[in-house]
Amino acid sequence: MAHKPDANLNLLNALPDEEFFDREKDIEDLYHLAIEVKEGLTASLFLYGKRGVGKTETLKKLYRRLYWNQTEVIPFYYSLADDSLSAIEFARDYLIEFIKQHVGFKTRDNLLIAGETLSLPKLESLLRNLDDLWLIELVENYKEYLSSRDFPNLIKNSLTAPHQTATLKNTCCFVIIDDFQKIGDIYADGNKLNILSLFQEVISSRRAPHLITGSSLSMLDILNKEPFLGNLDFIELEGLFEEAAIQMFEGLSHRYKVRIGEERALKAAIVDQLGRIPFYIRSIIKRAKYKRSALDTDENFYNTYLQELLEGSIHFYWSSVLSRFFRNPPERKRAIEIILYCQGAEGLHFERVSKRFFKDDPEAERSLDLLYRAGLIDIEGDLIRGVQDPVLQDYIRCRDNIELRGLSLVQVRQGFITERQKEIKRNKTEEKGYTLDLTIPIASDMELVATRVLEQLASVGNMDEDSLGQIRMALVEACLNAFEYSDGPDKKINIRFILEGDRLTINILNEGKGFDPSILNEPKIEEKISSRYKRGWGIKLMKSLMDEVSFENVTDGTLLTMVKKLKQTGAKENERAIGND
Amino acid sequence: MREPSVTTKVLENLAVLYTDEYINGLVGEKLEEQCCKVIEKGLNRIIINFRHTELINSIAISILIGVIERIMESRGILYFSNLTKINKEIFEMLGLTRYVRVFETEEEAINQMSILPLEDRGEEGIMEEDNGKQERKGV
Repeated sequence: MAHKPDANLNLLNALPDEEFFDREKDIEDLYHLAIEVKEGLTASLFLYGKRGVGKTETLKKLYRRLYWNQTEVIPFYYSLADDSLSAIEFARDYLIEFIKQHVGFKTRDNLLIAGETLSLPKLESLLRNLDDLWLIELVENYKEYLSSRDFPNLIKNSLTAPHQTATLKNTCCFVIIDDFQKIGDIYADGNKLNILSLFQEVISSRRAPHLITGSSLSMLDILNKEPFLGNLDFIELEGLFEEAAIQMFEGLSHRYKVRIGEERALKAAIVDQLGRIPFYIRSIIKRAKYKRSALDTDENFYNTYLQELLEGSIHFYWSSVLSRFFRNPPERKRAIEIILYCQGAEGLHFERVSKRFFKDDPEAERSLDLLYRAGLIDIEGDLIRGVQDPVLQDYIRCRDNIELRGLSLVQVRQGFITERQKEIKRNKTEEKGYTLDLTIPIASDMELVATRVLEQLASVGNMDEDSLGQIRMALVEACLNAFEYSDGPDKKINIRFILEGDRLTINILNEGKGFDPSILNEPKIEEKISSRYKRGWGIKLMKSLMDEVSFENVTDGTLLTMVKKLKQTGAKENERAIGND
Repeated sequence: MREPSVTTKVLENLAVLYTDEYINGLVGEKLEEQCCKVIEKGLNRIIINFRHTELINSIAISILIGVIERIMESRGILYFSNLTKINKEIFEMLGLTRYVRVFETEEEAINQMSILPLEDRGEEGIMEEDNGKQERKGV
């Protein structure tokens, strides 16, 4: 008779349901695919998604359901270790786990499944008692290949164990492998062994199909290198939808008795800041619980968030990733600089990044590849981008401030909070008004495209003609200035219009050599008349026509911000009417 | 790329130049070229009618300053007409109106130019500010 799962047992008891939201449909779909194995309908699958999105928990829940809800398909779950394994360790570990879970499932022995890994002698003893000749043979094969140091067959024996067992016993098996990308780290006699190619046979098994998972970037890389893996069916596990993420946030806060704000906008802002990634949401709630702090205001949330980035689970997680891929401090330091450089970029050419950080060092390719495998940057063709993970971006900024810029924790905390407050204010502004983003190529008359957008915005915002004329002129000048000082490879500039009430803000971002307006002298007509150089009026025009103009040198470019306080058409008409009275 | 457009109307003793909707650097150069041609033909009384012009960028403004200098050198007269409110505001702000008179309409500009005796043209044409007081610059 089956026992109820013990809460302390890992595999049979994943996270409590209150901590795991919105994956019911994913799990149900996977469960149906798994039990259809007995009809020979299921091919091997690749489940991919960002780090922390909940892949492991999904797999564990799936395993649990397969264990408790049916008896025909034998589930086998295996998670690759964090540290590099030797081929011998992997083969032994994989085989023991398979046999243990197989026997546990057949005999409904929950303790066997969820307990610690058995030693080989203990396993042999168990199999002798069961008198299972086939499983005993698998262990004997293992020992024989080990003694002859036949590593390929040693591993093949373990990897094919589920398929062979299912075939010989006329049954079915569903193999779940987590963190599959680590398979590339397995070594034999000090050399990396191409275990992936050994998977070719088992992946095509219909009696024991595999569900493999790993972080998207590394996995896609692996799949590209082994074309046979392209035959897998792909399933993406996305970040949570806003509603589900908020539900998770509320559920966890209730469970851990952490006070949160009632306002939906605040909850939505918090889960968005956390990328709607379950791991981050859980980490924040647990930190708040641990520190007995509330998450009921922006400020309280960001205090807790910053603690997490500097010393909590999120810090530990990303530090581990960095340390694992970049073992020495100078390499880590450079890695942080590169990630920071790539953040927010739409795509930087490989050559450009390589030249900037490695000069002619042949290590460039290897280091960038490591960053990519670690999920810290994204590479597509020749283009490198930052990873779309707001928490990772903030973590890297914090490390940069502390390790590279030498700021104290207090300074980092203060800077972070100030920046966030500004951002919150900006977001609130944007929420109330209109925000338009425009990218224009650096080409003749393209500044007119920007003025067309401005005109459209003016009609929506009820902007008066005088203001529109002034802003239009300033905008043209801002575009020309950005064109002139751009030298990025993409030959384009980005413009953002933010219209809120009686205030229009225009941000213009160009890549390039940077621009320092302070070096320019104020132009004077009487000097220009007789001078050979008659240009240099742009900044004066912008400053005269707008209420605020500022330039900021940002990573590899310049951000120009112009603000105009507007008179509304209606207001102006009212003014006239009052004047007439 | 659009073709820069500046058209010229030559009257008895003066020329009127009409500019494009948007005066960028290219249109500015075209304007300068047309002015030079007119001057070479012996006409140094020029009106630039901006009735079609909504926008003038700073590159074009710097070229216009060159045109003012050129007319000054030729001891001619340059008037602007039909400026939009914003363009007039910009010319005033940058100081161009210290050197060039601005008229509401082309007709007013022509009338003013026509009443000036040819030999006295410099007195009415290019202006220069001196100690905050506007006075005609004789050229």
